[in-house]
Amino acid sequence: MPLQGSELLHGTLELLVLRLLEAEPLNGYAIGRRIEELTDDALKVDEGSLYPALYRMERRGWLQSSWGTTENNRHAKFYRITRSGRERLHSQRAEWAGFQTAVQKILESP
Amino acid sequence: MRTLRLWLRALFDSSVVESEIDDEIQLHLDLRARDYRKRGYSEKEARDLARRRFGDEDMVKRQCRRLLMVERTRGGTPLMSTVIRELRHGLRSLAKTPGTTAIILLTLALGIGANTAIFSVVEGVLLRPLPYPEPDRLVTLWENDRLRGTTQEGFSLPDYVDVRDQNHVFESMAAFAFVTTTWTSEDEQPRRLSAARVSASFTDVLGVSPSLGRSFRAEEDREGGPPVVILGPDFFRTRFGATAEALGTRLVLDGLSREIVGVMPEGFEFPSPDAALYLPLEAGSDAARGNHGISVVARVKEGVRLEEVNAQLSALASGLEAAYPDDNAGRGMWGETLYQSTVGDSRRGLLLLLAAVGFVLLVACVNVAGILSSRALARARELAIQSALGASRWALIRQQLIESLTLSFAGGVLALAVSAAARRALLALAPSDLPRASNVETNGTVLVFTLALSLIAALVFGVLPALAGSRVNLRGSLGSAIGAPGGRLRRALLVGEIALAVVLVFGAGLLIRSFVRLVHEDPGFTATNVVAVGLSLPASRYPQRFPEWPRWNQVRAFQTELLRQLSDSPGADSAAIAINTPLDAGWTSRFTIEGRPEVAPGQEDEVRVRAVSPGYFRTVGLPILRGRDLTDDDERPDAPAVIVVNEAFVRRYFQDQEPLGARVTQWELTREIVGVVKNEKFRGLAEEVPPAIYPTFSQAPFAEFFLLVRSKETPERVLDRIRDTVGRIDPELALGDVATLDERISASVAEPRFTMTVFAFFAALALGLAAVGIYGLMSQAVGLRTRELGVRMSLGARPKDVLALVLGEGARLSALGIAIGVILAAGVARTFESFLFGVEKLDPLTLATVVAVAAVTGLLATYLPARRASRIDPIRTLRQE
Repeated sequence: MPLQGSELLHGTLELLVLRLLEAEPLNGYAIGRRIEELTDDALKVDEGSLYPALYRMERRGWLQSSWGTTENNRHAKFYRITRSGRERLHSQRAEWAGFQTAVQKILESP
Repeated sequence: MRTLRLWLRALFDSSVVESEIDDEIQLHLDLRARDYRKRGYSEKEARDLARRRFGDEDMVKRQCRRLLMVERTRGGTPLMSTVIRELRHGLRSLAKTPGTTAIILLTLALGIGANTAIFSVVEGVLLRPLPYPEPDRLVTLWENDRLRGTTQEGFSLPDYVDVRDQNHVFESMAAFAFVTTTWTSEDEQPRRLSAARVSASFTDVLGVSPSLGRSFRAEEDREGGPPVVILGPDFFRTRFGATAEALGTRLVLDGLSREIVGVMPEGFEFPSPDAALYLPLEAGSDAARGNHGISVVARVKEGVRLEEVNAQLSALASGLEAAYPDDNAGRGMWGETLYQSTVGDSRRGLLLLLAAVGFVLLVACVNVAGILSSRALARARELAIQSALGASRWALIRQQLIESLTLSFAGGVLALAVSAAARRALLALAPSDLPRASNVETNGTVLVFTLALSLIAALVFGVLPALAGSRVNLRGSLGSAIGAPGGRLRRALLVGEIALAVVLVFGAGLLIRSFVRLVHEDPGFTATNVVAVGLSLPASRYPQRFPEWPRWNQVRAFQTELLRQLSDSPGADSAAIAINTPLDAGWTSRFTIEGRPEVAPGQEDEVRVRAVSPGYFRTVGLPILRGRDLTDDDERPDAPAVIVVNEAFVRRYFQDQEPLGARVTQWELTREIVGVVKNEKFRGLAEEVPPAIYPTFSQAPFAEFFLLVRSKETPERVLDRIRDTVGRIDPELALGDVATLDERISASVAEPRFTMTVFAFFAALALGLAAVGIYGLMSQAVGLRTRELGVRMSLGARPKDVLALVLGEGARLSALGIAIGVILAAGVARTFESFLFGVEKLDPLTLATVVAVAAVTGLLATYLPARRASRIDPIRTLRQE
């Protein structure tokens, strides 16, 4: 089921990014890769959406970026989650759970 | 803290900022390619796949950039971070065109810097309050004389005493007089010092106490009082190393040993900065009611206005007129603020320069506006895309304004360096009698002015291009550039620039012409090769009692011996002594001509009196027109009293009568006119020559006088010879006021020279800026019309035609600008009237010259772009689109 990022439900990409960054700061490429790895390539992130999304989220104050070096000693921009990003993650999570339950109910209806 | 860091990063880390997006995406591509390589793809395949996988790289970058720059319509972000982003963007785009940015910064630095420099002078001289408590309550008092038409004369001591004792408007009053005194000490050559004789009340009136010791006591301020002296701060520092031990020691001044009783505080510059010492006024020493030699300063009672002061003074003056008709008939009294009498004269010149330099800044702003609007047009595509992506017009304008502010503040910082240098140059050029020049500095007020000016400049030069840029639309800029967008703005800027420059150049032209007239004005005397030296004979060794005048034998003996020794010395063509040097107006005296109808006492005419020794006319090159010169025979004690008069005197009083042999009474001495001499200027080159009489010095001796020596030797050698000669006759005398007559002429025109030089410099700066601006604007126009010109040429227009086309447009715009400039100049010409000498405010020659200069400048600045246009290769331009 190769889902393209553009087909991700609205807001889902943000949720995924926030969730990943909750664990550790990552650079843009690593975020994309991590999503692919964790979903066994079921979800593929479109770069065309990822970077604008990152910039947008930074603007909204959910992320904060800084320049550092990767394990391979490359200069890279790392994103970390902010306090308001965590709040956003919580609310989004709850929303997603509600959405999921709702969809589930329909699917399981007789 | 974080905000600050962001700001700093945005401001100073622009290189990182600029490539941030690029770097991030490059990293993404590299990492993706690495993964592909691991899966067995070749280097090249891996890169291609990575790129393809990414999709439209440019679009992503653009979107990201837009997110950095343009505030989104929904989901508001804090304004601060928006500003930072736009600032970053601005810096990035400025860094991309370092040449243009440098020109803009240089232009602004010159414009704002010149303004800051002039303002710092205006602030120090005009704006800063006088350094006394409640300076607004200090007034200077003057007398005037309705009968003789004088408006500003000093007080006489009795008049001062009467006003002091009878008025109800002043809290306190002080009188003072400028004097020079000779200081003799064991270690040094005798020195002449400027000093002020002051009444004991002067510290009370000014509200400044001595920093050491005390002020004068009332009993010291009278004839025969104890000999005391107060030191000025400079003299105290340079001669006594500012040590308190100076108090109580003694100074020998004019042969009299005086005890130092006080020292005035640092920065005290009353009544003028060169006052080294203060002596008691010694009331009674020149107490004649007709002798108007003292100045008066008063502190007005709280709440009393200047009008009330003047009403009171008029009333008191009328009383004195009635009480002393012989001396005070026609005499009035009036007051002005001490501020006015201190800086009043320098005011209009400085304000004129401030106005001129404001014009320079306007031209600079127009220039920068032109450059920015051309950049805005060059960036039309970028702006159009932003606009298409949803950036509001306001966002685009704001972006442009932030860029302007950045430029302006950077320019302002550079301007401070420019102004520091300019201020030094200004003060070096300024006339030496510019009041309060030592106040001029870069202080908080000046910095605030610079900041405000930068802000205003940014608005002036930023708004127009911002509006022009924001109006760019997709169709216009994504399509071709036919029709050269922004044409109207460009033309308006060009015309405005020329018009402003014309106004300044016209003003400079008037001032230059006027100055040339002034220095070519014939002073009457011949200044070259004449050295003048002031001498003062102390009463202690050269008795000068008024009842015995003019038989001051010791004074006359010294003068005779001095002239004899100097005339005998080789190298001196001639030598003379005179009460004043040429161009030093000296004083006037009442007189009567024998056989003329009696004039009521107090209503006699006044005449300039210049006592001179027989060699004077030869020494200063004034030919005798009729009769004879004064001779050594006239110097003999028993010789009949004689005078020489000038042409102006003859014209006024002897139109069709014979002056020679007529007898003139002045100072109760009747003298016969024996000669008529050519007119010489008395007060400055600009003034008419007044009627004057020249008594011979022995018959009207003075203890303070000038020695004039004409010699072909260098002034230094002449001075050495004078010093040797004076030292041989009296080793305790000091020379003062040393200058050649040429230097005195030069000093007399110092103020107009200063105004003219600085104004002309500003005009040249404005013209230069305008030329650069025109060049830039025309180049821009040609650049934008390349395609159109290419089409024309491919349709048969020859290079010559294109050259004429572009030159023609430049000429039309220049002509319009010049016309507007001339109208503006005519409008402001009245401002110049009071600065002009011998030149009409609408001097046609100046106008014609200005028009020619502006036209040539306009054409030259257009020529280069026009030539470039004529060399366009039509094939290439057509292929480009």
